[in-house]
Amino acid sequence: MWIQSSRYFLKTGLIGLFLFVAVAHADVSDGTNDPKLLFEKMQLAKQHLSYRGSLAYELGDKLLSYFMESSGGVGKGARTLASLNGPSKLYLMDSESECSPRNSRSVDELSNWYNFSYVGPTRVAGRSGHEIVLRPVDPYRLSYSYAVDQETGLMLRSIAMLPDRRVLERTEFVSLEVTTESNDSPEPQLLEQDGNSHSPLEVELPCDTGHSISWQLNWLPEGFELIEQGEESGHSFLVYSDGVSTFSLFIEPVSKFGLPVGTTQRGATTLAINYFSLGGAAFMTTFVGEVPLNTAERIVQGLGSSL
Amino acid sequence: MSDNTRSDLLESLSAMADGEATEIELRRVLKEEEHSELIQERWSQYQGVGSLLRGEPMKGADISSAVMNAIEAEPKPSVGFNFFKPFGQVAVAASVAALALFGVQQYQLAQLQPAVDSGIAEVELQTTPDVNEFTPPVGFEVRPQTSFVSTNPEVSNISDDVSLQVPFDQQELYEHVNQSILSHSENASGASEDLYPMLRAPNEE
Repeated sequence: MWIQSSRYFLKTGLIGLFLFVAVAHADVSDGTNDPKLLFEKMQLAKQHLSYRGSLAYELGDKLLSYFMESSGGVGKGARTLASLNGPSKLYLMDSESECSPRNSRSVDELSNWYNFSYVGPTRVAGRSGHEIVLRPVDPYRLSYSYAVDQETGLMLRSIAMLPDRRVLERTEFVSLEVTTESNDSPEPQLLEQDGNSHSPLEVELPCDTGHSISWQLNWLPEGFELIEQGEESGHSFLVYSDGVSTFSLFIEPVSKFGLPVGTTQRGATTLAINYFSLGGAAFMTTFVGEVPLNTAERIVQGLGSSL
Repeated sequence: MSDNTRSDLLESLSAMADGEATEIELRRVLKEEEHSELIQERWSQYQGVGSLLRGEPMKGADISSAVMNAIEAEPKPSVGFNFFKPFGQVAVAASVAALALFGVQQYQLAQLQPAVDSGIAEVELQTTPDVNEFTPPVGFEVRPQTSFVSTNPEVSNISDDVSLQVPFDQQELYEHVNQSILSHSENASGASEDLYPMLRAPNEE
């Protein structure tokens, strides 16, 4: 009897082991657990696929929900985002320009600043996916966890974390429909159901608008590059990205110190304000970006100019 | 202390310097500090620099209580806006672990940083220590580009203006913050792997 039980467990164990090896082998052979391949798949899906769905965006004790729609195609995509709770907001983004995408970095490049790892299978919005994590190699950027749709490669979930894995914000599809063509307008009832009239905010993806001053940073984390700069409404702006995280610097001349020097954070976004003088004129710098607080402080305090 | 232990310890110190130390790393420092003259010595130096920055008398080298106090005071995960804080006073234990290269490099600006209290920013005038006397932690690389001070002699930090007593308008600050985040969200669209940067556009009640 004892021998019989032992044989049973031995057989069960061997079968389990066999199945595990077979599944693991299958995963390796089609690359589904290769975090870099999954990330590349995600980059392509974002650019080329059309999809619509509902999103949950969580930061701190707040949970915001949105309807979103994206029609794919490099240089001809359009995106719509409408809030479903709280104040009614509608954003329309038309990337029918040569400005976008502006900073698609290869996985090989990103590997210089992030370690890619595969966490395991996951399920989001009723869809099977794979979870991957990007951990920065230095303390100057955030960690990110992504859930990648198994079927299409779309990003199903994005979590921004501090290096100690404390979650700063989470964005996750609740429902998702992938469409081949998507020129339809978002469902009007979603946008007007609160009965309030509101004008959609047309979001213009910024292009290089020309500039008269070449601002320079005395310190910049490796991998971040200037991808955009220009002038708008009396202030200069500079946009930097490492391909995963982005930050903006807004520089404007001031005649008084109306706002305090300091920092604040909202989810993954850090904002810092500082002042400096140049040629007898005073300027206020506002930093906004998805980087750790220390990084923001160091950058905003090192702003100079090659004027 | 083995090389590995020493290396781990100094890595933990570096993490503390950047305000990125995990609780495990903090406890590692606590565990080792009683047996490590190196840590005590470095801690004394950092404490000294920190005291100079704050214009306080030099203090002793009790890293344990300092770090434990920092852990106690550690802020919870962010909830909405953590409205306005002066530079360098948010990160975990970094305030204590003035450890650091970061703290030292920052001193030239720290003396210029106004403290925000009840809407009034005040300038703290402090004695500038000689940065060359400071030795950064072993293994903590001093990168040439990590200068906070402008290399352009024409550029200076305006905050050294002693007249910077700023009674600011909370509403104006709030609107500026929201508008800046909105503009950044637009900038980030198409520039990163974010799922949807416009989600970060302010959507306050």
